[in-house]
Amino acid sequence: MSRHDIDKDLFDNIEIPGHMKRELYKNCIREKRTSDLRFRYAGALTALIIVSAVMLTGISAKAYYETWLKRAQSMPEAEKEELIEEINNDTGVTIDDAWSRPLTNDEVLRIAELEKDYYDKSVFPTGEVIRLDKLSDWDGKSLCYIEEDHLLHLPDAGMDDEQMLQFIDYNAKKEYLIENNNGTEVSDSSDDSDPSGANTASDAVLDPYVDVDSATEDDIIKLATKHLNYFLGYELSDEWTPHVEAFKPSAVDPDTSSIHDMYSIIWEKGSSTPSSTDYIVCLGMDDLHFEAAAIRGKEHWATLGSYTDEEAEIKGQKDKSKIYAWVSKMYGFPEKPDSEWTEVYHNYDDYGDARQYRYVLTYGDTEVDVLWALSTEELFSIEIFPVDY
Amino acid sequence: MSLAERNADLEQAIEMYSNTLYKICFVILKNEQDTSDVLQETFLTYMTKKPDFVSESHRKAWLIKVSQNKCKEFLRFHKKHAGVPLEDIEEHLTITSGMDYEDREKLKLIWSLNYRLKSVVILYYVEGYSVRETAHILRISEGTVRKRLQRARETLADLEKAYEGGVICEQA
Repeated sequence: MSRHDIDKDLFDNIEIPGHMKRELYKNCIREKRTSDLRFRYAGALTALIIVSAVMLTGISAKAYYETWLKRAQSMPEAEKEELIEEINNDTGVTIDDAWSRPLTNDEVLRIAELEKDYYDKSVFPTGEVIRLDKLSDWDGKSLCYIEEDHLLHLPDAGMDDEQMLQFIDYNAKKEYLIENNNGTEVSDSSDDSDPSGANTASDAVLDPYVDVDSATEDDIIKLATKHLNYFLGYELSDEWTPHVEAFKPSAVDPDTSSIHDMYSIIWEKGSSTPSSTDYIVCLGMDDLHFEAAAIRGKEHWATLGSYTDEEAEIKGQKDKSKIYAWVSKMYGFPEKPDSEWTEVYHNYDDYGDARQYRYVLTYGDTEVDVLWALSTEELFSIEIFPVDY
Repeated sequence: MSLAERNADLEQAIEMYSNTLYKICFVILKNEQDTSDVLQETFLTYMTKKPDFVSESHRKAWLIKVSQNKCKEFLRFHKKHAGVPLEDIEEHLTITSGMDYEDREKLKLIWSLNYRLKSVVILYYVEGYSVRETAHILRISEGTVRKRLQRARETLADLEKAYEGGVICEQA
């Protein structure tokens, strides 16, 4: 049987410029994050999200959050060292990869509830994760970190509430240590050649965000609420509180076009925790045009039915006409796109556990990017951008 | 690991692998700014979560995996910069210097593949990873890798009859 080969010499001329290599090194040793929107959410920025939620949910929540922060800050040195070692030995790309098995839907939903108690009411576990050298020493019932394979082993039979609280506590502390440079102080390099002054991850992250005055904020929320109701097909109850984030990269980088400036309006129920559901609408900052709407969070994802990749592909293709109809009816596009590509979409990297299907549809110079929940046949997200955005 | 050791390790990793990552990410993202951002986030991840590597090839594969995940995330959510037409960047980059017309056309075709196909093509053909290794790096099944390679070949063939143009050549 023959195989075809692509001429690899074609790529020989693609080389990293020397200046970029130097910038990479310089920025990395300063732990400077890129200021891009999605990377803002990609890392262990839970703490920032929690802080913003705390600001919304009042004094008592703030007090509880401070209690949690004190708990993280006063971690015994021995525990801190153990967790730092575990972080360094983590072969996964995200902390989620450091578990022995995926969480079940029931666990995700219960953890989402317990996370709120953990952060908002200081409901902490009474015990802590056990640490063992060898897998052979594990009883299979406890929540246990094994040195041998660098994994947090979850009981096969499922976790009880105390174990889930231990799990939340363990991951929250790891996230805290990662956010704080693995517990080590970053050397003060605020001296010289960084004109932005953005020497820490937090500085770099927060830079593109600007304040929104309260009068404008009310108008933005009103408009965004219309878009959200339209997207969902129903109204959220009063328990869901919206707030506005103004992302304006053009304000800090004159080379960045203002086309990327946007308002994100986010609805949360109580505090936002790592697994909790929220809803988001994005509006262009210049003329408040609609850019995107989405449901986010593991909590919501856990309620969706699971498919194999093959099943998802069949169902996704079968549902395509429904997507065409939705996009046409709801957002005024023609009945069929000019071009498209599709894929089985894996949120949270659970391959073989597909719950969404993605359609990227091009209409003239506009691209519509849709995530479709296969089991509920509902839109999970829609993003509308110019093709050359 | 002391700060000095950490920085030396980072410098070595950038020296050894930034070119490979740049090549892969550039072909996928199609512009220098986004590529630079992805590389920065990749090496930051390396620095903050550096695992124990059993070999250099393990380290390389890990870095590729992380950069690919970030590219995917980037394409899914960012759309910060437009994919720049090759013609627009020829003057500013060395990519096409010395290339004849035919090769430039070939590159454009590969450039135009979607992420799923391009990511597999570049790991398998350019970096020389096997189907199994490509599957492992991208966290997809071997069957999916084979299917995507097949689709890439078909797509390229459809695009201006690429076989005839020599974009892909028969190999025993």
